[in-house]
Amino acid sequence: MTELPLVIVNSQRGGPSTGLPTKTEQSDLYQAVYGRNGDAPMPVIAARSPTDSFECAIEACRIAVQYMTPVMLLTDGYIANASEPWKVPDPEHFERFPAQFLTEPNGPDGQLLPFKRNELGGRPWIKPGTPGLMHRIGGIEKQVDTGHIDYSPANHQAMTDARMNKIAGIRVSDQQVSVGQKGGKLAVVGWGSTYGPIHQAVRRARRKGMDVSHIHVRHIWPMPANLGELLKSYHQVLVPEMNTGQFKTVLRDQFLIDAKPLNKTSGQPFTIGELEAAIASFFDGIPGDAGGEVIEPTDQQLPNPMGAEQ
Amino acid sequence: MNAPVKIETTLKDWETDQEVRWCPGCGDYAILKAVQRTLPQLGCDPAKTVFISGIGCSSRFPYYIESYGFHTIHGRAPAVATGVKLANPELDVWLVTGDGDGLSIGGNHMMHVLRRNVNMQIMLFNNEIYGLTKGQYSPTSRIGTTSPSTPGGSIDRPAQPCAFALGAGARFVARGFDVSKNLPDVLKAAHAHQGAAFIEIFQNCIVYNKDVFNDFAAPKGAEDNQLWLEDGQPMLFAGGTKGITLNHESLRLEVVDVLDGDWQAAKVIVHNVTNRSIAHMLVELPFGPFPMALGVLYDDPRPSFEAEVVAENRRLSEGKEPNLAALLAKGQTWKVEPEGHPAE
Repeated sequence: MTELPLVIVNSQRGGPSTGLPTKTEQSDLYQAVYGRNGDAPMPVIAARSPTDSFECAIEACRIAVQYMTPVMLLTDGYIANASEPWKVPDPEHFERFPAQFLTEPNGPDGQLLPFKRNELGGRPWIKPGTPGLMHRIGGIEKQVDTGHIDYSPANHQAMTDARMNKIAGIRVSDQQVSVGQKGGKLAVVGWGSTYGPIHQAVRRARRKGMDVSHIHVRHIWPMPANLGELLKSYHQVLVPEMNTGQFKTVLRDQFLIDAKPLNKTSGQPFTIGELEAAIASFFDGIPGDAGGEVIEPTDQQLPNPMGAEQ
Repeated sequence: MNAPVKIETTLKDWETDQEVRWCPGCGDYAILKAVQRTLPQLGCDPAKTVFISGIGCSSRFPYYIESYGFHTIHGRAPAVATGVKLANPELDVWLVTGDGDGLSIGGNHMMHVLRRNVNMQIMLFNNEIYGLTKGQYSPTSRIGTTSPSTPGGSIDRPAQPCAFALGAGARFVARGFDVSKNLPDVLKAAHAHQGAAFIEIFQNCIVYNKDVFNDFAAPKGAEDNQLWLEDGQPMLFAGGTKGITLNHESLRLEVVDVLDGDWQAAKVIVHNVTNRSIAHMLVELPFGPFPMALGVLYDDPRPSFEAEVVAENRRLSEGKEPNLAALLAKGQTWKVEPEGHPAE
């Protein structure tokens, strides 16, 4: 409501409540995307590995500052407790997004308009202490532009729309295919820490001749503009998640596709074998499918997040 | 604050163009005027002043003060105010809360802002009722308060805001009431205190808890029940005909009669704002057998949180240049050569 930048890092654990305090799960996705009172859309980004967390955190800050909004960065217990070799980046290679603070009144006749939006839909950021720009913010609905308290019907409609459109209009990079290609029989769509096991399972399946691709979504909300079209280019979409099917439901809702869930809430990450078996069930008649060689998952079979050759 | 520049303003400069929305006759109007009168006298700069509130009738306050203002979320004003003060210690922060916001949902945050001693003025408007939500009993309601949520009368014992503040570690505790002419002086003393300054302001909710403070806070005729405390002055009340003494046997405060103004003979004690033991007695002084202790009950500053944070940051960063690349390269790092791993 105040449209101030904030980054919240939610390292998900098994829930609800105190749940499994030391175990991993991806069950806060609904809370991140939908879980607020009122219509309060908020960007959500999910990191897929410890390495990826670095770039995701920068991306979260960029969105928060450029669009004046809170941003949720999702990781989980598996990422939080994992470590991996990481090529130390040169900070000079990152694009800068310096915060812009308003220093002069931005309205006609020297008037201050704390909720006047820019081309991105963001409002000005004003540091308390700046002479001449005193204003009040708070949780009560604000008048368009002036930010004064305003409960009037047309104003609330306009402000609800403005907040929604701002978040919906956030520019995020197009969705890439991690393994495989656009179009084909099956896409395995993941998000967050399931990247490693999905990656390996898809590679193995492809080596056996299965037409399967891996898509891993970083921008949970708003989604990449091309994601719907990309997903519709496959006959089938499988969404493995460490929850009861939350991202699957969001994808179905957003794109009206028949995404199939593969769910696990044991507090343990997926094994590669579990995913290979699930993929194979889509490929009757190809060696290595559900009717042929079945890979029994074992407790010893751990995911390999770095994508090293097996 | 580091010797802020005094600015010339008038009461009008501190008024916003917003319609003030409290019930007609609410004590909040008097408090608002007292604050708007006091700010020019303190030489405050509207651009460097921030009013931060939680939720409730009291918490609409920032909308009516022409300064920076933040009407935050229920009970969390101390957290936001702490952040504001840490981000810019030059800002003069005033926190506005009530008995519900500050002691019910926000009691935990209140405890920590006091314990940490963040330099700000904390005004807790105590009307002993939930006014905004139409009259349910609050944590400061007296036993037997009949309300929509306590139709048979409340049975739980009320919290005592000043005792809570002192117990939480506050280094400044004061009391006033909405229509008191002394309220600006109490506010000035709070402002002069470096650290968290807690002020309980009794506020008459004329709709849901009318005149519950009348015995000591009626506009007229209640003066004899007010014990206005002043540093270095004897604890006298009722026009100097009564005073407070310390019974050295029971170690309790007692009311004594003062004959012909001879307070020494009556062993009336002299108020010392730095005496924490007496402060503990004053905040718990039961009204009825005793007058209401008002004014500055306790004032003994310690270094404030944000001043210590700034000093520590300065100490830790002394002679160092910020270098993100060096920070990232710290720890367990190694270089991979193009030819492969270096020979063992």
